[in-house]
Amino acid sequence: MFIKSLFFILFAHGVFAQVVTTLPEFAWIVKELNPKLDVKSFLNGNEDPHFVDASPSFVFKAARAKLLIKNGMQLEMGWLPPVTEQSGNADVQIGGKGHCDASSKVNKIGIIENYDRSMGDVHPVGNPHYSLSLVEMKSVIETISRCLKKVGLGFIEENQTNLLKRFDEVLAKTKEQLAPLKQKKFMVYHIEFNYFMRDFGLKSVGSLEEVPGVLPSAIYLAKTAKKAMDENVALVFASNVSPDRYLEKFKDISSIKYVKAQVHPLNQDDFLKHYQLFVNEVVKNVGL
Amino acid sequence: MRIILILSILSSLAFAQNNNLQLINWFAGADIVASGDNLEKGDEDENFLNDGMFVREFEISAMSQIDQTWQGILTLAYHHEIQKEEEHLEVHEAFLFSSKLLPMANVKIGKFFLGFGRLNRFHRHDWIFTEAPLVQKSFFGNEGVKDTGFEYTRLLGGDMNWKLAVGLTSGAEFKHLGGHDHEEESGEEEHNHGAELGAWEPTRYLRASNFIEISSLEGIESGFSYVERRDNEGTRESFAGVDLVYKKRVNQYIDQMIQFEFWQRRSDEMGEEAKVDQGAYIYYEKGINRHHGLGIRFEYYLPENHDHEEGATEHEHEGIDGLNPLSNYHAISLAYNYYNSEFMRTRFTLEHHNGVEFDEEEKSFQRAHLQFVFNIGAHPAHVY
Repeated sequence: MFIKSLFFILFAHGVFAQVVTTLPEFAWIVKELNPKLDVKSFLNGNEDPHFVDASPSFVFKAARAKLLIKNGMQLEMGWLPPVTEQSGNADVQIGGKGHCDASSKVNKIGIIENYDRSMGDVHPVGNPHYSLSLVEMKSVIETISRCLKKVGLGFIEENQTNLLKRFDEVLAKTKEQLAPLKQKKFMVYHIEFNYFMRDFGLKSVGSLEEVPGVLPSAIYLAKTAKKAMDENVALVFASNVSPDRYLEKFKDISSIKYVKAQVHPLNQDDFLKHYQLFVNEVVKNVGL
Repeated sequence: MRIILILSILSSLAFAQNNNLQLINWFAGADIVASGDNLEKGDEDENFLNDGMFVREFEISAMSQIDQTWQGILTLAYHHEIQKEEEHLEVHEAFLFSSKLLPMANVKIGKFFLGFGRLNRFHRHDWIFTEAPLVQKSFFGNEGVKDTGFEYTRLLGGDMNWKLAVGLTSGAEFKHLGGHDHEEESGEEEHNHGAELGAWEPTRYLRASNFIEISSLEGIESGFSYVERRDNEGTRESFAGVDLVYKKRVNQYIDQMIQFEFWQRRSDEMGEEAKVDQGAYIYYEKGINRHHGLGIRFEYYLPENHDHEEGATEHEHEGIDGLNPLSNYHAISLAYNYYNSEFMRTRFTLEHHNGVEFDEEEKSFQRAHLQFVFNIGAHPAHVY
């Protein structure tokens, strides 16, 4: 009996996800497209996806998956390659039929031809933070649908149509909500709102980070605060993982408020509801 | 001179506008250390410990997909050998790797660092402290064991996150101590040429490991390793070890980390009583923010003659990297880590060692290290 139990623990094939995703919003999209699929996200929304350890639990999840969906554009380059390699699953590795780059049809911002590390944590293939853009996420839905079809998991076309329709509705409503903000100026902590701002014609006049991914110095923060006051900045956009200490310091100097967005929905929650909460928070803080 | 020549060739290759070469990921890294201690030394002992400032290690590595199945990894390393006042260039790694050959498995063929324990699976510049604990140095050398052979790693089924790695290597190399004397008569590095002597056996090892996920940012990996070999003098050695690492990340940095290893060695020399020695270390690091972290390490090492008052051990004659530990050897280290960026770190360490024999007296002493580690190019992402 003991040997049988041990054998089960060591070798039994447990319940593994058919689809694994790096970010929770992709897992939510998969579930919307085909509720019958078992899908799991490596991250649950409270991490900074640049800085994650290649957890062995990700390796085990990837080992059994038919499809892996990633954000791409080097967002996960610090941890995803060892995960897929150690998984021993050729399908989910680059070039495999189950390796899906959700950014493949994204209209990319910030491609850099000549760069070096003095420019900070830049992504030469483009800014990878597109998931707060409903316009770009619509292309992601289509990319994910194609990937599901390619590996034979399939999706329900009616669900895809309905999902794209919901995105259009929320986009139209948000455009109305944010229309008065086009006249205002904003700042960001990290350059992760560019796609969102492009969707609505919002203007950013700078970031609190001197170079991407590097904590700002006190001098730079003070200079940026002065610039923000001079430019009459309405609000600073930051993410849930941006450091409070620097945001509070900026606020103390400039008296300009900041809003911290939950950039990725927690625990595969409804992405559109999560998105609308963020938009409402922006509107509330700008004081419209 | 050889280094300059090789670097010239590599740099000219790197700049060549050849599309095939662009597929190669180049990486270079250096480990610069300044060390000093308060141990009073005689003329003969002045180079006993690695004092001074030197480029301890410099690695250059090329990695690329060879074809649809195999990757190739080549790493050359330069070492500064202060005890011998010489520079040394050697092949650290030259192996084929495949994660596509067999389902849920990885295969390595060639020369590589053997996949047992915790420290041995990482290059020295990626270690979380400057100097290896004495048990690591004694059993596996200053930078870990590398050898030429075959390693197979398999994820075991189920949702319990178990993994098994097994390896078989030639046994021609086992450990490096203070020096890198690659001459056959070297006593510092254990090179087996047992094919000539007839006592040689390959090195074989396994590591079973498990991971417990607490959250996507927090987890515990533990492992059990067993290594067996026989050197060219006919001494059979077996090593059993337990390793554990706990990490908790907060946003961009490691908030808390614990790393632990315990090892026991059994040496059976032909016709003599088996000797057993053991040691362990535990390291704790608390991250303050993305740039700053404080660490503390405790270690002990129990030499093989601890129950033989009169017998001098092999280590007492040769020393373990300059130290002759007694049965009460233990040490504590305090470290301040400054993570300049993802690609560079600066570390200051203060060590207090107790229970070492020096000039036929039991002594305790302090050492300090200032270390700079950096890398340029495409350093591969780290495993957990």
